[in-house]
Amino acid sequence: MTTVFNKIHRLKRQPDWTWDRFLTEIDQYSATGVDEKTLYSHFREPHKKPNSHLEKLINKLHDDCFPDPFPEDLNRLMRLYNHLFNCKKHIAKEKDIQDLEFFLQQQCEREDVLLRVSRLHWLLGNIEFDRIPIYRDNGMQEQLGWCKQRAINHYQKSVLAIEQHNESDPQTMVGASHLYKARHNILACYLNAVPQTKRAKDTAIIHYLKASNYIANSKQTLAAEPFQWTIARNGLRFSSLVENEADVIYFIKALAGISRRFLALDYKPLNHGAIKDGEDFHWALENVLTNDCLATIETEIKQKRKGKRT
Amino acid sequence: MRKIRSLLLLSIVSILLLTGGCANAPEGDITERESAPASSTQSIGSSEPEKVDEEPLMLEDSTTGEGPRGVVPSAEMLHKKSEPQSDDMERLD
Repeated sequence: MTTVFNKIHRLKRQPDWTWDRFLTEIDQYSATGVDEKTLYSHFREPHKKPNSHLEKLINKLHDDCFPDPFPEDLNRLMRLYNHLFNCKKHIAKEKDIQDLEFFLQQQCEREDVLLRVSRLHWLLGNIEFDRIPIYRDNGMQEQLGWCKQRAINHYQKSVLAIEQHNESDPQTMVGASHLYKARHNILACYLNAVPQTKRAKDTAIIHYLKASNYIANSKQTLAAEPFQWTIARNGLRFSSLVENEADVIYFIKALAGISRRFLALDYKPLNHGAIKDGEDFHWALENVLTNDCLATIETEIKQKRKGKRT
Repeated sequence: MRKIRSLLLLSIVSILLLTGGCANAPEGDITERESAPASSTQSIGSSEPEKVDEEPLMLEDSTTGEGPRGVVPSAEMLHKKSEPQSDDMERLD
């Protein structure tokens, strides 16, 4: 999920968007608006949890400035599913999810608009994706394998439909960030299907990681949007899993560039654990991210900032 | 005599209540509990797992082979048993 942090950054990077302009734009959506300090602190701090008022305003503003290429009805259906999945009090939740899944499968077969096909497969992929930890944690290997494969197939069909759409209608081309997200989900299927302690030695993860060019794509996406700390964090995770020192340094620098807080390895950004607690980061923690290394990066960043000011 | 009458009445009422209770009991309650729960992820209307296309980059391993799914606990139960690991990758929409 795109965080409010990322959305504020993406909005702020638009030409002529000073803080005054930003606040004026927000005022158009709400009489009460948002005060400058709050907005700025959410811009600076990746761990800050926005209140619902700020979240709604930023989401609206972001949707207007960066319209989603997918059909709105299917985006709303996706939101409905997310609420259903996350609802702890819903009785017979899985049965309702199965009914929704059946409906989506039927729609998918009838649909011929490529972006609709893509979004339907994306949602079907999400449904299977969310079952992966359930099977993994209960040791149901056979069901886990099938579930993972179905999720991957749906995401791949989604990617294929986007690519076909982009070829057939270049004027309404879907941006690279959406393709990146779908491919990220495929990699996440591989990773989440394996218990944390076994990930570093899992051949399927390592094979897909290399074949998909994930690290290079992550660097490319970060170059376009350097504020995306989740991409940098995942880049660090996979660089650690494949034991690549240079890439570990690359991604920790990217994180430090977003916020120096990331150099404290016990820092917990919103909805994520600390790097020092992550089993996937074990190799990097043991071999690269020493106190000396982190201190050197901090000094480099300070010098860069000084250089920019002068 | 009164005692005998009241005892008779009581026994008739209790017999009526007992028979009424049994008649209202749900049918097939026990057999339903004994029957195997349906597969949680199985697509509706099919008895076999959906045949999926092979993902090109997927390595061949035991998880990709088609095999009997067997009896599995309902996903509702699994939701209760499952505890998310601290550092799973989140999906993006």
